[in-house]
Amino acid sequence: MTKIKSINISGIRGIKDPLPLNLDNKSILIFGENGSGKSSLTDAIEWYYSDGVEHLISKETGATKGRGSLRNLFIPDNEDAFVNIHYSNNKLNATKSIDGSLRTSVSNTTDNFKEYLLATQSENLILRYRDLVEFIIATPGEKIEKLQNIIGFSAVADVRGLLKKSAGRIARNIKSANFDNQKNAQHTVVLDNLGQNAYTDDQLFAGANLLIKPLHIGKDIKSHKDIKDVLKTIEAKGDTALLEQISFYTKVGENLTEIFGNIDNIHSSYKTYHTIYTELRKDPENIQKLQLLALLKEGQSVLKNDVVQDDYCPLCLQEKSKIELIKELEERIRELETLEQKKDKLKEQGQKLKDTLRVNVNTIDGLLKEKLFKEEQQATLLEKVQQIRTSLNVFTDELKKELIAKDSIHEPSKIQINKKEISELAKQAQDTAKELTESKGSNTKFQIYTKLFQTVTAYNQYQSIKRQQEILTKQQITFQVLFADFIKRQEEALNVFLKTFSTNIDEYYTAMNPNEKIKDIKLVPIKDKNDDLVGITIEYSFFDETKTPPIAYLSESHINCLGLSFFLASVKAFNKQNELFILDDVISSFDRPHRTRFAKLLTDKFGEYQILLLTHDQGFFELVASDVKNKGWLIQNFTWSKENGVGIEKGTTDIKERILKKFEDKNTNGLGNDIRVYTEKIMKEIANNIDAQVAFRYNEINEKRMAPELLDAVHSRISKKGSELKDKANIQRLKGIPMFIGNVTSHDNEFNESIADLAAIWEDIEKTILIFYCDECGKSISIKYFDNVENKIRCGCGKLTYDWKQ
Amino acid sequence: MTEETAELKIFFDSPKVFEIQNIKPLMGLTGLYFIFNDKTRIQYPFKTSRLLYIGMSEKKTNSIGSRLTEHFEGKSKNWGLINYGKVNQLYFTYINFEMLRKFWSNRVEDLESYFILDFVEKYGVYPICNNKSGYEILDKKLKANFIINWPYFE
Repeated sequence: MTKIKSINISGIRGIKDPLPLNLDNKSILIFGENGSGKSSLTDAIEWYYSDGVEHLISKETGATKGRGSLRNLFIPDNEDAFVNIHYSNNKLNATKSIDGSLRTSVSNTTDNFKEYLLATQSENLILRYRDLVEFIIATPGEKIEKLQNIIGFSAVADVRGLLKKSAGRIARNIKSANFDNQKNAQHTVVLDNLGQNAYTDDQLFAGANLLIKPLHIGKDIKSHKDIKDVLKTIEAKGDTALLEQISFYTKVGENLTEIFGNIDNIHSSYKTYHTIYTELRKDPENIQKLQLLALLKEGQSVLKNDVVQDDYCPLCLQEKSKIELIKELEERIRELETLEQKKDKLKEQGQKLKDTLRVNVNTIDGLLKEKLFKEEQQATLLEKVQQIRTSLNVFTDELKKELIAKDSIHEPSKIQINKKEISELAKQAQDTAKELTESKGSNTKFQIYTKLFQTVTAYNQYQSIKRQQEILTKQQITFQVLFADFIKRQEEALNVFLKTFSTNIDEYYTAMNPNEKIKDIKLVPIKDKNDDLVGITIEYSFFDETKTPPIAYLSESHINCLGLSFFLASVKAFNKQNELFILDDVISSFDRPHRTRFAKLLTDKFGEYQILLLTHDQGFFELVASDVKNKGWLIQNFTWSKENGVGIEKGTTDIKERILKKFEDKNTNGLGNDIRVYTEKIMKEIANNIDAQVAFRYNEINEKRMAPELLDAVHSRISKKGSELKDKANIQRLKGIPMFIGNVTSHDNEFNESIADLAAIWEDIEKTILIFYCDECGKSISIKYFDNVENKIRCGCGKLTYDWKQ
Repeated sequence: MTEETAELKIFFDSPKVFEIQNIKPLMGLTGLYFIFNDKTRIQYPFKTSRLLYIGMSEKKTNSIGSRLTEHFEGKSKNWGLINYGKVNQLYFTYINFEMLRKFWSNRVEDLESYFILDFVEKYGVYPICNNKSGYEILDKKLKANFIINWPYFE
């Protein structure tokens, strides 16, 4: 498994000059104010691995996958921007550069590195705050798509789709060909001529032998060749024209019988089509709205890709929670997709009917090619057959009508094909063929020849249709069996995966939200009425009732927890190549207990991973820092200045060191606040040591009193205990410092003092603190070290002492 | 047809295993169907036969496919067929009514009656699973002169 030894970034996003990070395969906690370059680091790594930066892709930058915004604005065009990464496996070390014309190049061209990059594509390396809930609010279909992409199931899903489509296409062909009907038409001819039907050669030969018996030609038919021989023997050359006529009428009879057999199918198929069509047309507005579907999906993608950064609607510009907006869009998209499914059903039904009509039109067209139709005496028959074709075309024309056309399609009863007429026409043709055959009443040879010829033609035709049907049916069965087997295996594999994945999600979520009424979080496959897998939903037990989806009941903070749990579970499940991941400002909406538990989760469950944890939250930074500083993590600060761009400095959790560094840098940013926090911390310690008590108050009042009341308590205590300490430590002076006054709304009040003002304040505070702390042992005076004999309070070593009344 | 109608010999199509995969394609077909044993012969009064049941479908909506599916799934509650199915591999074959339409101007129900009565004539009793004692089969001699290939089931 791969970890990162060092990263060096130059000229990417906010990072102008080279920014080296020496990680030495260790995790790192990075603190940086907003705009200090944390996201530049994340963007650079994302570009390095995926060749683009997702959140930079918009309509304007789409063509370059966000690369247009990648290079730092202030680096010269002839200078390359780059990301250089050294790995635990040094064969993978590489530098990826992007020049002034946005051409990229990678220094490592080995197969090793290519394979590594390819494998990394399917891993989850980076989680940003804005991506947290993406999976949770995705539709069931998108969820399965995302998971399939990650777990390499997308190819499997493609094959499944192909199998299903192929089986469906063949089934449609079989249905529209109506093989049984075609076979029947041929059987009827055989029955009529031979006085029996024939499914097998033996049955045919037995019937044929009976038929030729009166001719006494001394030949027993045992094969198809024998039949040909007999036909040749009894053929009467002079009767060709008559035979042609008989064949013609027989064919007309057969074909019309075949079409007759399909008419019910056409009528019922059109009726179904008409019902769906009419149903959809009831609400034309809805159909119009369908045209919005693409637009809504585009809107959804705009919001998800963070093209709009803040919580407002990009169209009406009103303030609106982005998550809410995405949720609303999803609901509308879902509604329209249901409508689209109905429209697809109509299309599918239309296609079925079209296929059936095509088969019949082809039959008629084939028949119309018969040369006898050119003869004048067939004009009436020709007209009637053409009329059938016209009536079939009426259906085809109806299918071409748009759903939102002004006039609806015809009622099924209005465009019925005249079944009776076709049946009569077929019977007439068959009777004519029979009459013609019998016209040579006395000529038994002629009659037998005609009957045998018609029989053999029909039998062969029947066998050919049967073969076609068998081939297609076999193909259909094969696809069905493959499909069923495929689904079974796919489901088994997916279920195993989902179970493990769900267990991890549940574990991480519960670790962050213990003792809550949300339990048993799991991913559950959704199937449609055909038992096909169509999506995945998130299910959980809420007050012992099964609920889905999460967004309906959970707060934003809980959904974020769930998002984090998904990401972390996916790291465990999918990151096989890299033992590392990046978390960029993911805890913004968490309160203190959630942050604490999240930090613990990271250190407890992901200790073996290299984590790049970036935050702009001072409190979270300190919290995690205190937890990880003994676990080998690196701790660093990102700073940004106009002169130097993004810079790194050793991160410190020691607030005094931070204050001194800020004085050194003349950096007033947050310095007043740091001094206040430091003073409070020390005063709490002193108050504790000299037993200066602060009355109990509820937290909201506590917030208002921290520094002033601690100072008051200390002042009051030392005033009672001895004038020596009271005179030396001028607490009243500290209480007058503006940053300690009116600190009502927040700990993070802004102070506008100059660096000189702050230096003066700091000096006062340091002097006061020094009165309580021994410069020898470093410890504060404490009643623990109270000297009963001298009545003095003192430090740990006894060097610093003050009078203290009993 | 009249009494003088020429004889028409009716053969049956090759047997199909009585399973759903073979039944499904017959949705929408009307006509007669015949369910029979693999090997077990039933001792009928005059002769033995593997034939168990003669059924019919008169409507496309209640087609040969649907009727056979009901038998296959046991929904038809024909306990004879269900129990034979438990101990035997069953087969079926069918006659599409369209094939005989030209030679039979009556209803499918009548054609079924014709076939059943013809079986009764040759074997002495209804097929064992037909449970038939009602619907008096009439008029056979008036309508057709089918020679049915009953030995197919022997």
